[in-house]
Amino acid sequence: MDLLLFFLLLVLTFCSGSIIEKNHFKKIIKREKALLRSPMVNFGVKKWSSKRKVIDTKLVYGEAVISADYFKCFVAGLKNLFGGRMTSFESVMDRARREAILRMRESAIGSHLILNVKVESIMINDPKNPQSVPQCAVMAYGTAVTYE
Amino acid sequence: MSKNNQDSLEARYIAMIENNVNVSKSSDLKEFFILVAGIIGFCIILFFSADILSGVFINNMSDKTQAKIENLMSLSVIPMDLNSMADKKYAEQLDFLNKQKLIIKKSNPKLQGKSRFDIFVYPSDELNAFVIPNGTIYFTRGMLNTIKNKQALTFVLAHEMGHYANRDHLKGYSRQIIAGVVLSILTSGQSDSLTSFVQNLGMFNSLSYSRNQERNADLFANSVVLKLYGNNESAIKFMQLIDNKQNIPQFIHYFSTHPAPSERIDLLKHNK
Repeated sequence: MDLLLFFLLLVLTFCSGSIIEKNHFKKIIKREKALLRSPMVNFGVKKWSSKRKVIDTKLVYGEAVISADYFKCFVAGLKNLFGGRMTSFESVMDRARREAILRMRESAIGSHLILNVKVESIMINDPKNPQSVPQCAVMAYGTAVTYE
Repeated sequence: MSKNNQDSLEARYIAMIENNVNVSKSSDLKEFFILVAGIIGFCIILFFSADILSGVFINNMSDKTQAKIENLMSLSVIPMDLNSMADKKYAEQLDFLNKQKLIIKKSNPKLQGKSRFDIFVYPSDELNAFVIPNGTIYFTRGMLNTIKNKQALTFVLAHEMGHYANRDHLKGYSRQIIAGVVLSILTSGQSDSLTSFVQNLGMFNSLSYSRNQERNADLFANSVVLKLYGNNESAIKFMQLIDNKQNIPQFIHYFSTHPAPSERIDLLKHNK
C-alpha cells in the first residue's frame, strides 16, 4: 500500500513538475526577450563617471526561491549513489537564477543601465535536517543608473 | 554601430536565451529509468555475490559456530507446545516419526550432537512440512491427514532433516538478512515499508530454499529411505500425489520454490 502511494506520488509529481517547469521556462524566455535592450553589466566599478548627466542611482534587487519537486529529489537521491551531473537539479538552479535576474531587471525598468550586478545563492533550508526540502534561493542585485 | 551589426548582435542574444547551455537536454524520466535499472542490477549483483559468499562461509564453519548461531536465532522463536493443542489422532504418527528421527540421527554424523529435532503438528491444512533454525520440525495437519504411508512420512522427515544437515536453514536466514540489507540500501533507509514487508512475509518464506538445496535434501531423504526400506516406491508415489495436488492453485505458491515434481520423481527413480 505504501509502495503504491509512493509510485503514485512519483508519477503525479513528475507530471505536475514538468508542466510547471515548462510554463516557467516559456515565461522566462518571453520576459528575457522583452528586456533584451536593457543592459546590465559588472566590470568591478568602484568609481564610475559618465559623460552623460546622471539624475538617479538606486539599488535594485530580485530574489527567487524555486523548489524541486518530489520526483526530481528522488532522481537526485538515486544519482547520489553513482555520482555524476545532477541534471534534475540543473533546471531548478537555472530557473532560480534567471527568475531572480529578471525580477531585478524588471524593478529597474525606466533606468538606462544596471551596474555591478551580482548574483548570490542563499541557503534557506537546514542541510542537517533530512526532512528539509531541497530548494534553490538566488538573489541578484545591482545599481540602476538613470540618465537625464 | 551599423544597423546590420546591431541586428546580428541581437540575434546572438536571442539564440543565447533560447539555447540554454546551463540545463542538460536529457529528460529526467530517461535518467530515472536508467538509474532505477542500474540500481536494480546493482542490488541483484550484490544479493547474489553476498549469497554465494555466505554459502561458502556456512558450508565451512565449525559445528560450534553453528550451535552458537542457532542459539542466537532460536531466541526469537517462541516455543510453542503445539502438540498439546493438536488432536490425539496424530499421536501414533508422531510416535512413529520420533522413532524414525532417532534412527536417521544415528546414521548421519552431520546430525549428531546438535538439535533434539522435536516434532510438532502445525495447525494448517496445507500439505507441507518445515524445519526451523533450531532444528524443530513441523508437520502440518494437512500433511498428517493426507499421508498415512510410513515410508512417505519417513521420506518427508528425512527431507527436512536433510535440509538441516546441509545447513539450508542457516542459508535461508542469511538470504533473508541479505535481502533486508539490500532493500534498505535500495530505499536508502528512509522508508520502512519495504523492509517490514519482507520481514512480514513470515515463516514459510524465510524457509524457502533454492531448487538445488531441495534436490540435495531429496537425495539425502532418498538414501535414508533406501537404507531403511530397501526401496522407494512409496516416496515416488508421494511425489506423484504432490504432482496431482499441484493442479490445485492453493499449493502452487509453496511448491514453486521446489523443482517440478516430475523432475523430483525422475531423480528418485534414477537413484534406486
